[in-house]
Amino acid sequence: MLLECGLADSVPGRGRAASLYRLAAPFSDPWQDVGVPHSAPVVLSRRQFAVAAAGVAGLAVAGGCALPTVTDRPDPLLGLLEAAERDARELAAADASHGDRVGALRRLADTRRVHAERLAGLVDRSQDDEQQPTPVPTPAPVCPPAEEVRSRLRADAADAAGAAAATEGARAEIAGAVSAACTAAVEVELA
Amino acid sequence: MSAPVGLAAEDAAVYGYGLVLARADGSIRAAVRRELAAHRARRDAAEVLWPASPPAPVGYVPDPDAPGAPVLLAIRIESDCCEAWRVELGLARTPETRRFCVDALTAAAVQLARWRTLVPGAPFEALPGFPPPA
Repeated sequence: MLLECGLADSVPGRGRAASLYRLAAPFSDPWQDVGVPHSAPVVLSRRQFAVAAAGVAGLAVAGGCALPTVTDRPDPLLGLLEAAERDARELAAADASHGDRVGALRRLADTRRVHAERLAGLVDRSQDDEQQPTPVPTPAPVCPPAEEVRSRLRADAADAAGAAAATEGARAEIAGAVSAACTAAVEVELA
Repeated sequence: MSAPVGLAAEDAAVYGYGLVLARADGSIRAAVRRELAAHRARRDAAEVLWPASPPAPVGYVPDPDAPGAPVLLAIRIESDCCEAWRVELGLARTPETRRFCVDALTAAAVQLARWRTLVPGAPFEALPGFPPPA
Protein backbone atom coordinates (compact mmCIF):
# COMPACT_ATOMS: atom_id res chain seq x y z
CA MET A 1 0.00 0.00 0.00
CA LEU A 2 2.81 2.38 0.87
CA LEU A 3 4.52 1.85 -2.45
CA GLU A 4 1.39 2.27 -4.43
CA CYS A 5 0.54 5.68 -2.99
CA GLY A 6 3.15 8.39 -2.95
CA LEU A 7 6.53 6.96 -2.06
CA ALA A 8 6.78 4.71 -5.04
CA ASP A 9 6.35 7.64 -7.39
CA SER A 10 8.97 9.68 -5.65
CA VAL A 11 11.68 7.03 -5.51
CA PRO A 12 13.16 6.34 -8.92
CA GLY A 13 13.33 2.68 -9.78
CA ARG A 14 10.81 1.62 -7.26
CA GLY A 15 7.27 0.62 -8.05
CA ARG A 16 7.50 2.00 -11.59
CA ALA A 17 9.41 -0.19 -13.85
CA ALA A 18 8.70 2.12 -16.76
CA SER A 19 11.06 4.81 -15.52
CA LEU A 20 13.99 2.42 -15.80
CA TYR A 21 13.34 1.70 -19.46
CA ARG A 22 12.94 5.21 -20.76
CA LEU A 23 16.51 5.33 -22.08
CA ALA A 24 15.45 3.90 -25.42
CA ALA A 25 12.96 6.61 -26.20
CA PRO A 26 15.08 9.80 -26.56
CA PHE A 27 17.41 8.35 -29.25
CA SER A 28 15.37 9.15 -32.30
CA ASP A 29 18.07 10.39 -34.68
CA PRO A 30 17.35 9.01 -38.14
CA TRP A 31 20.93 7.77 -38.81
CA GLN A 32 20.75 5.45 -35.82
CA ASP A 33 17.43 3.97 -36.80
CA VAL A 34 18.22 3.22 -40.45
CA GLY A 35 18.05 -0.49 -41.01
CA VAL A 36 17.97 -1.22 -37.34
CA PRO A 37 14.52 -2.34 -36.34
CA HIS A 38 13.65 -1.64 -32.81
CA SER A 39 10.54 -2.10 -30.83
CA ALA A 40 8.85 0.47 -28.80
CA PRO A 41 9.22 -0.05 -25.07
CA VAL A 42 6.45 -2.18 -23.69
CA VAL A 43 5.12 -1.12 -20.39
CA LEU A 44 3.61 -3.92 -18.39
CA SER A 45 1.52 -3.41 -15.34
CA ARG A 46 1.96 -5.81 -12.46
CA ARG A 47 -1.25 -7.54 -13.40
CA GLN A 48 -0.23 -7.93 -17.04
CA PHE A 49 3.17 -9.23 -16.01
CA ALA A 50 1.60 -11.75 -13.65
CA VAL A 51 -0.80 -12.95 -16.37
CA ALA A 52 2.02 -13.29 -18.92
CA ALA A 53 4.26 -15.14 -16.47
CA ALA A 54 1.44 -17.51 -15.57
CA GLY A 55 0.83 -18.18 -19.25
CA VAL A 56 4.48 -18.97 -19.95
CA ALA A 57 4.68 -21.21 -16.90
CA GLY A 58 1.48 -22.99 -17.92
CA LEU A 59 2.81 -23.66 -21.40
CA ALA A 60 6.04 -25.04 -19.98
CA VAL A 61 4.21 -27.36 -17.59
CA ALA A 62 1.78 -28.51 -20.28
CA GLY A 63 4.65 -29.20 -22.69
CA GLY A 64 6.56 -31.14 -20.07
CA CYS A 65 3.56 -33.33 -19.33
CA ALA A 66 2.69 -33.91 -22.96
CA LEU A 67 6.18 -34.95 -24.01
CA PRO A 68 7.61 -37.45 -21.53
CA THR A 69 11.35 -37.86 -21.74
CA VAL A 70 13.16 -41.13 -22.33
CA THR A 71 14.19 -41.33 -18.69
CA ASP A 72 10.53 -41.78 -17.71
CA ARG A 73 10.63 -45.28 -19.18
CA PRO A 74 11.49 -47.94 -16.58
CA ASP A 75 14.65 -49.96 -17.02
CA PRO A 76 13.71 -53.18 -18.87
CA LEU A 77 15.90 -55.17 -16.48
CA LEU A 78 14.10 -53.83 -13.40
CA GLY A 79 11.20 -56.28 -13.73
CA LEU A 80 13.67 -59.17 -14.11
CA LEU A 81 15.48 -58.07 -10.96
CA GLU A 82 12.30 -57.84 -8.91
CA ALA A 83 11.14 -61.27 -10.11
CA ALA A 84 14.54 -62.80 -9.27
CA GLU A 85 14.51 -61.25 -5.79
CA ARG A 86 10.98 -62.52 -5.19
CA ASP A 87 11.90 -66.06 -6.32
CA ALA A 88 15.11 -66.12 -4.30
CA ARG A 89 13.14 -65.16 -1.20
CA GLU A 90 10.15 -67.43 -1.70
CA LEU A 91 11.74 -70.58 -3.16
CA ALA A 92 14.17 -70.72 -0.25
CA ALA A 93 11.12 -71.25 1.99
CA ALA A 94 10.27 -74.58 0.34
CA ASP A 95 9.45 -77.19 2.99
CA ALA A 96 8.15 -80.71 3.42
CA SER A 97 4.81 -79.75 1.89
CA HIS A 98 6.59 -79.61 -1.48
CA GLY A 99 7.48 -83.29 -1.30
CA ASP A 100 10.44 -84.44 -3.37
CA ARG A 101 10.70 -81.00 -5.03
CA VAL A 102 12.19 -79.37 -1.93
CA GLY A 103 15.78 -79.85 -3.04
CA ALA A 104 15.15 -78.59 -6.56
CA LEU A 105 13.24 -75.54 -5.32
CA ARG A 106 16.00 -74.60 -2.91
CA ARG A 107 18.63 -75.01 -5.62
CA LEU A 108 16.54 -72.73 -7.81
CA ALA A 109 16.38 -70.21 -4.97
CA ASP A 110 20.19 -70.09 -5.09
CA THR A 111 20.07 -69.72 -8.87
CA ARG A 112 17.62 -66.85 -8.66
CA ARG A 113 19.73 -65.19 -5.96
CA VAL A 114 22.68 -65.25 -8.38
CA HIS A 115 20.41 -63.68 -11.02
CA ALA A 116 19.35 -60.96 -8.61
CA GLU A 117 22.94 -60.17 -7.65
CA ARG A 118 24.10 -59.88 -11.26
CA LEU A 119 21.07 -57.88 -12.36
CA ALA A 120 21.37 -55.50 -9.41
CA GLY A 121 24.75 -54.40 -10.71
CA LEU A 122 23.18 -53.30 -13.99
CA VAL A 123 19.84 -51.84 -12.98
CA ASP A 124 19.24 -48.20 -12.11
CA ARG A 125 16.77 -48.34 -9.21
CA SER A 126 16.55 -44.59 -8.61
CA GLN A 127 13.11 -44.31 -10.27
CA ASP A 128 11.87 -47.31 -8.34
CA ASP A 129 13.09 -45.83 -5.07
CA GLU A 130 11.24 -42.58 -5.79
CA GLN A 131 7.99 -44.47 -6.18
CA GLN A 132 8.39 -46.35 -2.89
CA PRO A 133 9.68 -43.81 -0.37
CA THR A 134 8.79 -45.80 2.73
CA PRO A 135 9.76 -49.44 3.28
CA VAL A 136 6.78 -51.73 3.79
CA PRO A 137 7.19 -54.66 6.19
CA THR A 138 6.84 -57.91 4.26
CA PRO A 139 5.30 -61.07 5.68
CA ALA A 140 7.34 -64.26 6.04
CA PRO A 141 7.97 -65.72 2.58
CA VAL A 142 5.92 -68.70 1.47
CA CYS A 143 7.02 -70.94 -1.39
CA PRO A 144 4.18 -71.49 -3.89
CA PRO A 145 3.39 -74.96 -5.26
CA ALA A 146 5.84 -76.32 -7.82
CA GLU A 147 3.38 -75.94 -10.67
CA GLU A 148 2.99 -72.23 -9.93
CA VAL A 149 6.76 -71.89 -9.78
CA ARG A 150 6.97 -73.47 -13.23
CA SER A 151 4.44 -70.97 -14.61
CA ARG A 152 6.31 -68.08 -13.06
CA LEU A 153 9.65 -69.22 -14.44
CA ARG A 154 8.17 -69.61 -17.91
CA ALA A 155 6.89 -66.04 -17.75
CA ASP A 156 10.22 -64.81 -16.38
CA ALA A 157 12.06 -66.59 -19.21
CA ALA A 158 9.86 -64.89 -21.79
CA ASP A 159 10.32 -61.49 -20.16
CA ALA A 160 14.08 -61.96 -19.99
CA ALA A 161 14.25 -63.02 -23.64
CA GLY A 162 12.33 -59.88 -24.59
CA ALA A 163 14.66 -57.74 -22.49
CA ALA A 164 17.71 -59.38 -24.08
CA ALA A 165 16.39 -58.56 -27.54
CA ALA A 166 15.62 -54.98 -26.52
CA THR A 167 18.96 -54.17 -24.88
CA GLU A 168 22.60 -54.44 -25.96
CA GLY A 169 26.00 -55.57 -24.79
CA ALA A 170 26.48 -56.85 -21.25
CA ARG A 171 22.85 -56.14 -20.34
CA ALA A 172 21.66 -58.34 -23.20
CA GLU A 173 24.10 -61.09 -22.16
CA ILE A 174 22.81 -61.18 -18.58
CA ALA A 175 19.16 -61.06 -19.64
CA GLY A 176 19.75 -63.85 -22.17
CA ALA A 177 21.50 -66.04 -19.61
CA VAL A 178 18.66 -65.46 -17.11
CA SER A 179 16.13 -66.47 -19.78
CA ALA A 180 18.09 -69.62 -20.63
CA ALA A 181 18.46 -70.59 -16.97
CA CYS A 182 14.76 -70.12 -16.25
CA THR A 183 13.80 -72.25 -19.25
CA ALA A 184 16.29 -74.96 -18.27
CA ALA A 185 14.89 -74.92 -14.74
CA VAL A 186 11.36 -75.54 -16.04
CA GLU A 187 12.39 -78.14 -18.63
CA VAL A 188 14.87 -80.09 -16.51
CA GLU A 189 15.00 -79.25 -12.78
CA LEU A 190 11.23 -79.06 -12.29
CA ALA A 191 10.20 -81.35 -15.15
CA MET B 1 36.17 -62.31 -42.27
CA SER B 2 36.13 -64.95 -39.54
CA ALA B 3 32.96 -66.83 -38.72
CA PRO B 4 30.79 -65.47 -35.90
CA VAL B 5 31.62 -67.29 -32.68
CA GLY B 6 28.11 -68.73 -32.40
CA LEU B 7 28.22 -70.20 -35.87
CA ALA B 8 31.74 -71.52 -35.29
CA ALA B 9 30.56 -73.20 -32.08
CA GLU B 10 27.69 -74.89 -33.92
CA ASP B 11 30.11 -76.15 -36.57
CA ALA B 12 32.31 -77.58 -33.81
CA ALA B 13 29.24 -79.07 -32.07
CA VAL B 14 28.22 -80.93 -35.22
CA TYR B 15 31.73 -82.39 -35.45
CA GLY B 16 31.88 -83.08 -31.71
CA TYR B 17 28.54 -84.87 -31.54
CA GLY B 18 29.86 -87.15 -34.28
CA LEU B 19 32.58 -88.17 -31.83
CA VAL B 20 30.03 -88.53 -29.02
CA LEU B 21 27.85 -90.72 -31.21
CA ALA B 22 30.80 -92.98 -32.02
CA ARG B 23 31.39 -93.55 -28.28
CA ALA B 24 27.78 -93.55 -27.05
CA ASP B 25 26.08 -96.67 -25.78
CA GLY B 26 22.46 -97.55 -26.40
CA SER B 27 21.21 -95.60 -23.36
CA ILE B 28 22.06 -92.19 -24.80
CA ARG B 29 22.40 -92.85 -28.54
CA ALA B 30 18.90 -91.58 -29.40
CA ALA B 31 19.51 -88.37 -27.43
CA VAL B 32 22.87 -87.88 -29.13
CA ARG B 33 21.29 -88.30 -32.59
CA ARG B 34 18.59 -85.80 -31.67
CA GLU B 35 21.16 -83.26 -30.49
CA LEU B 36 23.32 -83.81 -33.55
CA ALA B 37 20.31 -82.99 -35.74
CA ALA B 38 19.41 -79.99 -33.58
CA HIS B 39 22.89 -78.48 -33.81
CA ARG B 40 23.03 -79.13 -37.55
CA ALA B 41 19.72 -77.28 -37.98
CA ARG B 42 20.93 -74.42 -35.79
CA ARG B 43 24.17 -74.23 -37.79
CA ASP B 44 22.22 -74.06 -41.07
CA ALA B 45 19.97 -71.31 -39.70
CA ALA B 46 23.00 -69.35 -38.50
CA GLU B 47 24.57 -69.63 -41.96
CA VAL B 48 21.45 -67.97 -43.37
CA LEU B 49 21.72 -65.20 -40.78
CA TRP B 50 25.43 -64.62 -41.52
CA PRO B 51 25.66 -65.41 -45.24
CA ALA B 52 29.15 -63.93 -45.70
CA SER B 53 30.75 -66.31 -43.21
CA PRO B 54 33.53 -68.60 -44.41
CA PRO B 55 32.77 -72.32 -44.72
CA ALA B 56 33.24 -74.63 -41.77
CA PRO B 57 36.70 -76.06 -41.16
CA VAL B 58 37.31 -79.45 -42.75
CA GLY B 59 38.34 -80.91 -39.41
CA TYR B 60 39.44 -80.19 -35.87
CA VAL B 61 42.39 -81.12 -33.72
CA PRO B 62 40.84 -82.44 -30.50
CA ASP B 63 41.75 -80.60 -27.34
CA PRO B 64 44.04 -82.88 -25.30
CA ASP B 65 42.05 -81.90 -22.21
CA ALA B 66 38.72 -82.82 -23.81
CA PRO B 67 36.92 -85.53 -21.83
CA GLY B 68 36.75 -88.98 -23.34
CA ALA B 69 33.49 -90.15 -21.76
CA PRO B 70 30.63 -89.38 -24.17
CA VAL B 71 28.39 -87.63 -21.63
CA LEU B 72 31.24 -85.44 -20.37
CA LEU B 73 32.19 -84.62 -23.96
CA ALA B 74 28.58 -83.67 -24.70
CA ILE B 75 28.57 -81.45 -21.61
CA ARG B 76 31.71 -79.74 -22.86
CA ILE B 77 30.15 -79.20 -26.31
CA GLU B 78 26.98 -77.64 -24.92
CA SER B 79 28.94 -75.54 -22.47
CA ASP B 80 31.05 -74.18 -25.34
CA CYS B 81 27.90 -73.40 -27.31
CA CYS B 82 26.42 -71.54 -24.33
CA GLU B 83 29.51 -69.39 -24.00
CA ALA B 84 29.72 -68.70 -27.73
CA TRP B 85 26.07 -67.66 -28.04
CA ARG B 86 26.32 -65.51 -24.93
CA VAL B 87 29.25 -63.65 -26.50
CA GLU B 88 27.42 -63.41 -29.83
CA LEU B 89 24.39 -62.00 -28.02
CA GLY B 90 26.49 -59.20 -26.58
CA LEU B 91 27.90 -58.37 -30.02
CA ALA B 92 24.61 -58.52 -31.96
CA ARG B 93 23.39 -55.25 -33.47
CA THR B 94 19.72 -55.98 -34.16
CA PRO B 95 16.85 -57.29 -32.01
CA GLU B 96 16.26 -60.10 -34.52
CA THR B 97 19.84 -61.33 -34.24
CA ARG B 98 19.73 -61.07 -30.46
CA ARG B 99 16.50 -63.09 -30.42
CA PHE B 100 18.21 -65.80 -32.49
CA CYS B 101 21.17 -65.79 -30.09
CA VAL B 102 18.87 -66.09 -27.04
CA ASP B 103 17.07 -69.04 -28.62
CA ALA B 104 20.37 -70.76 -29.39
CA LEU B 105 21.72 -70.04 -25.89
CA THR B 106 18.52 -71.41 -24.36
CA ALA B 107 18.59 -74.60 -26.45
CA ALA B 108 22.19 -75.27 -25.44
CA ALA B 109 21.48 -74.47 -21.77
CA VAL B 110 18.52 -76.87 -21.64
CA GLN B 111 20.53 -79.71 -23.19
CA LEU B 112 23.48 -78.91 -20.92
CA ALA B 113 21.19 -79.28 -17.91
CA ARG B 114 19.83 -82.57 -19.30
CA TRP B 115 23.29 -84.07 -19.75
CA ARG B 116 24.27 -82.96 -16.27
CA THR B 117 21.45 -84.95 -14.72
CA LEU B 118 23.42 -88.04 -15.81
CA VAL B 119 26.42 -86.96 -13.75
CA PRO B 120 25.75 -87.31 -10.02
CA GLY B 121 26.43 -84.10 -8.11
CA ALA B 122 26.82 -81.91 -11.19
CA PRO B 123 25.56 -78.40 -10.38
CA PHE B 124 22.77 -76.57 -12.14
CA GLU B 125 24.16 -73.70 -14.22
CA ALA B 126 22.84 -70.42 -12.78
CA LEU B 127 24.04 -68.27 -15.68
CA PRO B 128 24.71 -70.47 -18.73
CA GLY B 129 27.46 -69.10 -20.92
CA PHE B 130 29.20 -67.21 -18.14
CA PRO B 131 32.27 -68.58 -16.43
CA PRO B 132 31.43 -70.26 -13.12
CA PRO B 133 32.02 -68.13 -10.02
CA ALA B 134 35.50 -68.48 -8.57
